[in-house]
Amino acid sequence: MTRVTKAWSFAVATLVVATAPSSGAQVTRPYFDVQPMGVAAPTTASASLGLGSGLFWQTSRSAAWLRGSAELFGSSLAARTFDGELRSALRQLGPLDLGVDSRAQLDVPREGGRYGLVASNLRLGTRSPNYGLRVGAGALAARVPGYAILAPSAQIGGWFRWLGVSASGDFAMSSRPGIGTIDTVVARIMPDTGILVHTDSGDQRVFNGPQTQWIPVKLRQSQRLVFNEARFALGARFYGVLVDGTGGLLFSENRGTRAHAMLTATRWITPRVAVTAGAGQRVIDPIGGLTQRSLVFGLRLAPQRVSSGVVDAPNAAASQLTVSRLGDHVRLSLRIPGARHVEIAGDFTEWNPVTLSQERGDTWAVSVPLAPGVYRLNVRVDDGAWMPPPGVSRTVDAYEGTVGVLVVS
Amino acid sequence: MTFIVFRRLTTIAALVTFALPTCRLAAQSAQLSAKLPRETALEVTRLIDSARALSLPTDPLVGVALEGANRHASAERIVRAVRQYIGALHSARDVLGDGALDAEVVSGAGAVLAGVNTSVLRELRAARPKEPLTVPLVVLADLVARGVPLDTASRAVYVAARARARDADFTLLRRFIEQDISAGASPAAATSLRLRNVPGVTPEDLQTQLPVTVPRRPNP
Repeated sequence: MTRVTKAWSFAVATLVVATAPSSGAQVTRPYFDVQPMGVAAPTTASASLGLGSGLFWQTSRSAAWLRGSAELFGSSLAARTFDGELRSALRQLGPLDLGVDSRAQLDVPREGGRYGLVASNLRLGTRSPNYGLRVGAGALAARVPGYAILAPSAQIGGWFRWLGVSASGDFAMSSRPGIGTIDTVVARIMPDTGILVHTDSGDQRVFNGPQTQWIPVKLRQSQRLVFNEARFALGARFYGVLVDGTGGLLFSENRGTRAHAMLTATRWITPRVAVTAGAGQRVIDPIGGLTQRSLVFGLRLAPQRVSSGVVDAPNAAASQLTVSRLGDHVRLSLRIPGARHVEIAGDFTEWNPVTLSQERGDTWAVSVPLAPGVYRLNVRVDDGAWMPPPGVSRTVDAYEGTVGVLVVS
Repeated sequence: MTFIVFRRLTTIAALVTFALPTCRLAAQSAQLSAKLPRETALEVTRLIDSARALSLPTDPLVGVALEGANRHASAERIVRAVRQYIGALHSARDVLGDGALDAEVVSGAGAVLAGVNTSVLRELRAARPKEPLTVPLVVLADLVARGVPLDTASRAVYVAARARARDADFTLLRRFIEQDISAGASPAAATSLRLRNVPGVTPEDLQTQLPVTVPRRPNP
C-alpha cells in the first residue's frame, strides 16, 4: 500500500447553490443543499485548482450527503474524489431503533486505478433523549487497483447530547484472511511537489515532476486484510457559530495507525447566507490510508439555515409543547434535550422566526401576546427542518406542507 | 349638559367603530407589503378586502400569505392559496351558520382544505349544536393529515361528538392515535381502536354511521 504526504491543498468553497421545492423547506419533504466549490492548492512551484460539489438531503428519518470533486493541476485532471453517507431509521422495535448506515468513498487518480470503499451496516440502537448506544453488522467492499474484496464488518458506537454539545463515535471492524496478492498499487502524484511514498515493505521514495508512478507491492498469499476504523464527530454552537468536528483513527496491520481530523465552523450571517471555514486532514482513501491536509473556506447560500449533520445521532426528541396563559400573554415551552437553538414561526409572529430562550435544563420557552383563537405554527431545532411542534395538532397547509395548529382558549 | 355628554360619547363611539378596522386594515396591509412583492401584496389585500366584505375572519388570510412568503412560494402560489382559503372559510361559515365563532370557521376551513366534505361539518354542527366545534374540527383535520382515511376520521369525530365528548376528550383521542401511529399501527386501525376509549362512546355508538356519504377519495 502507499501513502502520499506533504500535499497541502486549500479548498475554497466559492459558491453554494441550494435547491428546494418551490414552496420552500417543508416538514415532510426532503430538502437539498448543493455545494459547488473550488479547490486551490498552492505548492512550491505551481497552484492547483479544482471543482467540486456536494449534495445534502434530509428528511425527518433520513440524512444523506454526497460530495464529489475533481482536482486540476495545471490543465490536467489530477484526481476525482467522491464520498457519501446515508443514515436512515427503519423502524422501532420496542425500546430499540433499527436503522441502516451506509458509506462509500471512491478516489480516482489520473495515473489510473481506483481506490474505493463501500460499507453498509444494519444497526440496532437504544432510544433515549440524551445518549444512546448501538451495535451493527454488515459488509464492507473495498477496491484497490487490481483487486477487490468483500469482507464482513461489525460496528459498535454511541452518541450523546450534553449542554448544547452533541457527539458520536463508532468503531468499525472488518477482517478477511487470505486476500491473495496485490500486484500493483499506484501512488497519487502531485506535480512539481516533493512526494513521499511509503510502501508496505518500508521503502520510501521521493518523486518530482508530473510523472506516473506504478509501485509494485507484493502481499503474501496468506496475508490478512484488516481494516479497523474509529470515527468521531462533534457538533456545538458557540456564540452563534456552528462548529463541526470529524476525526478518526485508521488501524491496519500493514500500515499501523493513522489519525485524521477536520474542524469546520459555519456562521449564518443572514437566514440564507453562511460563511464557512475549516482546517484539518481529510481521508481520501481509507483503505490505502491516503489523507490530505486541507483548508476550507466557503460561502453558502441556502433556502434555510441547515446544520451539517456530521454527528451520527437521532434527531433531538422534543417533549410536548406546553401552553400556559400569563395575563394577555401565552407562554409556549418545549423540553428538547441537547438542543442548541430553537425557533418558532407562526401566524402570531407574522411567520418571522423567533428564537426561544433557554431556561433551566433543556427547556426552551417564549411568551407571546395571544388572544383566544386558532393559530398555525411550526418549530425548528438546531437549524433543521421546520415542523409542527410535538403534541400539537397538525394539518396540511396550502403549500403542500404540514403545519401545527394551536387552539388558544 | 346631558345632551353634550351624549353627543361626545356618540362621537367617540363612532370614531372607535370606524378607526379600529381602519387601523387593523392598515396594519395588515403593512405586514403584507413588508414581505410580499408589491403586485402580490396588492392582489392579496384585494382578496382580503373581499373576505372582509363577506364578514369572514381575515387574520388567517394574512397568515397564509406570510407563510407562503416564508416558504419562498411563488406569487402565483400565494395568491392561489389565499383564494382557496377564502373559499374554505366561506364554505365553513355557510355550513356552520352565521352565528359560528371565528375560531370555528377557521378550524372548519382547515378541515375543508384537508379534504373533509362540508356535509360532515353540517352533521357535526347538528350533533353538537350548542358547544363550539373548534377542537373537534382541528382534531378531524389532524387525523386526515396523519393518514387516517377521510371516512374513518369523519365518522370517528362524528361518533365522539354525538357521545358528547368534551374538548379534552378529543385532544386525548388525537394524542393516543398519534402515539399508535408512531408505534407502527395503521392510521385507520388506531382510530377505530382509540374511539372505543372515548368517554360516553358505547358499543352501539361504534356501529353508528355518518348520515352522509363521505367520498372515498385519497387524502390530499
